[in-house]
Amino acid sequence: MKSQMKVLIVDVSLASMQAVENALIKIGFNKTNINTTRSYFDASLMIEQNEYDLLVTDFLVQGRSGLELIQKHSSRGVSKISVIISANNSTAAIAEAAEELVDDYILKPFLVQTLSDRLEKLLERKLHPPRYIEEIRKGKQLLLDRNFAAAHMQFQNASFLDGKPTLAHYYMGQTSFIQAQFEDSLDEYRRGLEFRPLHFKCLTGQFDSLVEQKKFSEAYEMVPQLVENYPIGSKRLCQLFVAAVYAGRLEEVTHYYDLFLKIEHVTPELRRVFTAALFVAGKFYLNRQKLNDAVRCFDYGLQVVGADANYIERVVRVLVAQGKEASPMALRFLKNYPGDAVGGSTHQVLSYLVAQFFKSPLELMEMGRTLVQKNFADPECFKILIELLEKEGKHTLAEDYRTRAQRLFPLRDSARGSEVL
Amino acid sequence: MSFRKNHFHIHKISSLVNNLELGSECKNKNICEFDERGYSFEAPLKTCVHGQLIGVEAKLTILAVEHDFYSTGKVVRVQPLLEGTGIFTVELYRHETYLWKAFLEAQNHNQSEVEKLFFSMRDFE
Repeated sequence: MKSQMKVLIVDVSLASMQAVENALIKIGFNKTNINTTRSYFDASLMIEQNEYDLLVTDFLVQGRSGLELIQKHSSRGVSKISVIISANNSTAAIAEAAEELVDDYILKPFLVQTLSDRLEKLLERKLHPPRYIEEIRKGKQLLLDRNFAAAHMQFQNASFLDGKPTLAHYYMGQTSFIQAQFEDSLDEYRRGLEFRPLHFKCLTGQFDSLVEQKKFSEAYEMVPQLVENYPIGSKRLCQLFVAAVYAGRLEEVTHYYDLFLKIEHVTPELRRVFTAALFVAGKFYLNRQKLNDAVRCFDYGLQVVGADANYIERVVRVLVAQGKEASPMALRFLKNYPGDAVGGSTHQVLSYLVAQFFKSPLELMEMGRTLVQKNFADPECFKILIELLEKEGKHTLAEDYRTRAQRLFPLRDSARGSEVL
Repeated sequence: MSFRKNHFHIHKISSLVNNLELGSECKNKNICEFDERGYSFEAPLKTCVHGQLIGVEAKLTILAVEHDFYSTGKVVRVQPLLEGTGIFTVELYRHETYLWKAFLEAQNHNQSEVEKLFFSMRDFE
């Protein structure tokens, strides 16, 4: 059987690749059925074009996630086997691999015997499973083929084969979840948890069902149970932020900063979601006149996203809107503006917005006029300039700028400065 | 959180016969496999030959604590790879046995912790 199995090994290290190949040959694989590659792109193509039974990959391949290769491989049938062999021993990486249904996780460097022993044990488990697991696998194939009624029946039958059929209930839950029958899926996950109260898949299934139903507060109630018992991967952390924001638990968003720091492979999606959550939390504090707490959120956001012009612009604008008290903070954030964008139109506008609290009226009028001449001025800039001119008694000039502003921003409503424009 | 790391970074390989450094490209090489008798690493094929006696200066990190590790050994296997490199398997002769044993145990410990965590989240399906 093993000698017939087709294998793909993906690793940038030739030595690791060879060591895995040696171990596979040692336990009965046929060398001619083993393909290897160091390239993520080639691996992705090879998976598409071949029917591999076993995929062995590093967690990261040329900066790309090996888990994406595993997703592609696993989607081709329930009998597909996948293994991560990696020096990455972070619990977040291990959690992500477990969530993606990787079959084993082996650490580098490996003990010679460990590698062949574990691969042999894994194959034994996959090729000769107990009847309960075998029936569940049949159900998973039906689920993959989107034959939902038959899959449900199969999982139900499997549930009679084990004293604690949590996994069967989990898959019954998944069958309902895929069909968007979230109440049914919740029932099944809860049944599964009656047998094993901390079953990770049932807990996350329950969380996902609640989120899909937009029951964010209930979903968020589950977070401590998940976070205290299991490490959290990148994808799951994204969902926790979303749940925290929608559940209105904005005070708790910053608590996740430590969890975020522990994640070694931060995806752009996680950065985007966490920054957005921190920004919303910051605004929440501003609305409650808690400037220091707000700035803490914005600072964390800056750490997460780096010197991002869009993020800094949003932070500076909300701080400026708070008035003079928040202006030193606005100035501090503006100093983090990316070097290559300093002096650009947005940076000049933001500098003007901040300058209204520090510069003399004369200097401000001069800055404002320059912005208008360069066509950089936005409604906020016009508002500041017009108010200033009115205050200085230059009504004709103010009226002139008001006309120009109305011509440039005809659709502007009361959101920003309409009383002046 | 991570399990505390274990590493074996090779810094210098020299010939035991004439003390000349072999393969300056071998600096900061990680080993790929090991057992109680020795270890394997990847290096250019010209680095050393089968049967050669070598001295290896390395940093051995055991559960995140770094140690200097000097060992002598014999190249007992050279498996050529692509691009002019090969896997060299070294059988250890003289070395700090307690450090090597601790390294083996630490990596075994980490692997079993990973296994516990992994299978607490992932059923044997």
